[in-house]
Amino acid sequence: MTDQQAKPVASDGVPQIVIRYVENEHSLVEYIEYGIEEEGVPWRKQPLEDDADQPKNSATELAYQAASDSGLKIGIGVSRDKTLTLHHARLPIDKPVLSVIDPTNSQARTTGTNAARLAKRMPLRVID
Amino acid sequence: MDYIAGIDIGNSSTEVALIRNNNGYEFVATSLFRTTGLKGTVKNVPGVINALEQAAEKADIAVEDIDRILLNEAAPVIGDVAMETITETVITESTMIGHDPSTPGGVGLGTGTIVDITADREAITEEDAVIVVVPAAVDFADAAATINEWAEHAIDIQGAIVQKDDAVLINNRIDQDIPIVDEVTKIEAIPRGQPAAVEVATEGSGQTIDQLSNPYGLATLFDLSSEETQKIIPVSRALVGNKSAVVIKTPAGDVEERTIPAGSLTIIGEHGNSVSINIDQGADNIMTQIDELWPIEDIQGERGSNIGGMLSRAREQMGEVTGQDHSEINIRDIMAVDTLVPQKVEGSVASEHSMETAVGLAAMVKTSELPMQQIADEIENRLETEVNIQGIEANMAILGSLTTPGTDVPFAILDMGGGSTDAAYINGNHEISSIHLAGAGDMVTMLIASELGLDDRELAEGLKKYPVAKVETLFSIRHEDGTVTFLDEAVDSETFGQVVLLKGDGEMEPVGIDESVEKIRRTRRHAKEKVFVTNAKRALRQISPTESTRYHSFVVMVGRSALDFEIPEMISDALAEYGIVCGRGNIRSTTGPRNAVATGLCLSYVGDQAEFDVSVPNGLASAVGLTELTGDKQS
Repeated sequence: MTDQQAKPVASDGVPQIVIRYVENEHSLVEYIEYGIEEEGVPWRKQPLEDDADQPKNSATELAYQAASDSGLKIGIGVSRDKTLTLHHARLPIDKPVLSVIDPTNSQARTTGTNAARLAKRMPLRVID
Repeated sequence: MDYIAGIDIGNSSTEVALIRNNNGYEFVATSLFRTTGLKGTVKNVPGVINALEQAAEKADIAVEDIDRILLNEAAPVIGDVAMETITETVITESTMIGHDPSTPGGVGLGTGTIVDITADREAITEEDAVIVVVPAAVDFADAAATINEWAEHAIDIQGAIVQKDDAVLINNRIDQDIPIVDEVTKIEAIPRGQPAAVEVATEGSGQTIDQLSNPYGLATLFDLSSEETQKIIPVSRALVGNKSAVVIKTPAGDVEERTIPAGSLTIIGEHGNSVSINIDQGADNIMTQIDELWPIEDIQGERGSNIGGMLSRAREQMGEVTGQDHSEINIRDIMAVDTLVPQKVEGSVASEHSMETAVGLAAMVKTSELPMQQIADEIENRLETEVNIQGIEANMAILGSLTTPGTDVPFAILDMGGGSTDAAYINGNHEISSIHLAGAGDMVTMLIASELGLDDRELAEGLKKYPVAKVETLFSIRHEDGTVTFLDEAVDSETFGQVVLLKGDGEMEPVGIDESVEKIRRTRRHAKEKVFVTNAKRALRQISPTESTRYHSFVVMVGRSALDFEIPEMISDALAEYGIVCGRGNIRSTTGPRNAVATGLCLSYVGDQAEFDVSVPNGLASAVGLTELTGDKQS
């Protein structure tokens, strides 16, 4: 993995962190992206149309789907109820790495940082 | 049936061996408990009783069923340790050194005058080249936009110093490649308008900076005279191994490495010669003097220094134990080790550290004897059991160690504990000589703590006792030797990516310091080698009749530190060079390097009394102060 590849890469050729989010939470996603970018890990986004009829969109499920889709096995889910979850595809679905309810911009950024540090095998930062 | 217990009260643990007379003696239980109070005081009694209770329980009897208790004449020594830092790096005004954030941005080397990113562009056009400072209040996107705008107006921007963790974000949004160092917490302390240099090493290749860590590189960048170059050496040395760094030149500012007056030692030999030596002359010089004046009568430390304080503390402790005035108590050995200690730099802007030189010292106090009779009386009162003081510690250790399969006289033992390294030698005529040297497990702990900059003594103790590993993925750890173990369950997020202590039973404890597995392993092994290998050689030399380490053929290692996972092999390795057979003891073929003295006590008592089926060499009884042993009767 080269750390030089800091900008989001469009092609699916390289392993990437996947962010799966309901569309009206894109402002949080921006801060998640800053966190990942500063650590120099590639990522891609999967926006979902917000559908109130779909009860399945819990952050944990979104994160798990994202992780399963990710070449790095690392995914972040952002749900309609403003919950942020970081997941790894090898973990049981009900045991995500971490979850933050109604995060601040800075907490969202740290979640992105931690997703990247998970990929880089570095100690995670405390989300405060 | 008779039950007899041998008890060894050590500095840190109290050990029991329990034997039973059932038409011939046999060992029935062994136990171990933490020593309560200072060794040789009546405060040891609760620990003794606890250890006895454990042993009794294992043998399925009550403590009251024990008919006789044997105590050893404990070696009257106390060890203590101290550290003297002898250099100090002081920065006047802010010259920044040694900052190494985890994600710097860009690459290369830049030099220029420091300007604030919020400065008026019109005002800076006359500068040749600039380095911009980005405080936390400025958003990274705005900072990047400003840099691009300035560049369009032909301002030569050479690098950036950023307060928040934004270096990569800025680098990705600007049109040129400049080195960017971030996470500089005290950015307000950086003097605007001064010349500075910023360097970021090429990423990924594992490379480190090469210009700012080279004193001549700094001299080239800042146009320094030879005198100034000499002064900048602490800066360049502190930057070696960094992936990024900033150095700022200030007109009145200065980086100075100065020597702290560290006090002196006066070593007095038994032959009346004495020498005074300053601690800042280093460990090698101190140890040479000790060797030259050996045997040592006393060592005095300068008042007001750390070493002076440590020596008088040890004297006072021993005085308390023996009831002697502390002026009558002598320091009989000292061990000094050179070390490097990370210290927070005075006047730093990003919590930088510099490696200061220091000398670690261990001292050993010896008095004529410990008041063992008081302990014996107290145990007798509490348990209403007869208590004998059976023999001298070193002799009992020799006797106990002889139950290790494959041993025979003449041979030597190395008893490596927490406070002192002891050795004893028994020659072909069964004469025993013994010695106690300063420096053992506690000194190793101190060296590990100070070299890794730990305040937590318990953590340092853990780092001494257990190997470390790195949690590499949620499901695997990589060990010191590079092998990987997969885990049954995912680690929690706090442990991920951390260096952890492996505490035997599969438990992983995060170390919580920002050091690599390699650095921790190297520090730990160095500390052990500096203390134990040095002391093993020193001790064996001094107990040999010819004052030569090479004199010995067989050495058995016993004591707490002989249980360590790497100390015995280090010593075996080092002694193999002298052609010495050296290994860890296995007392009674069962207890490993533990329980030598307690076993020896039982053996010597039984040897006095009756038949005993433990193979102890012929004629040994007289050597340990007994009339005869089983083996003697047969010869």
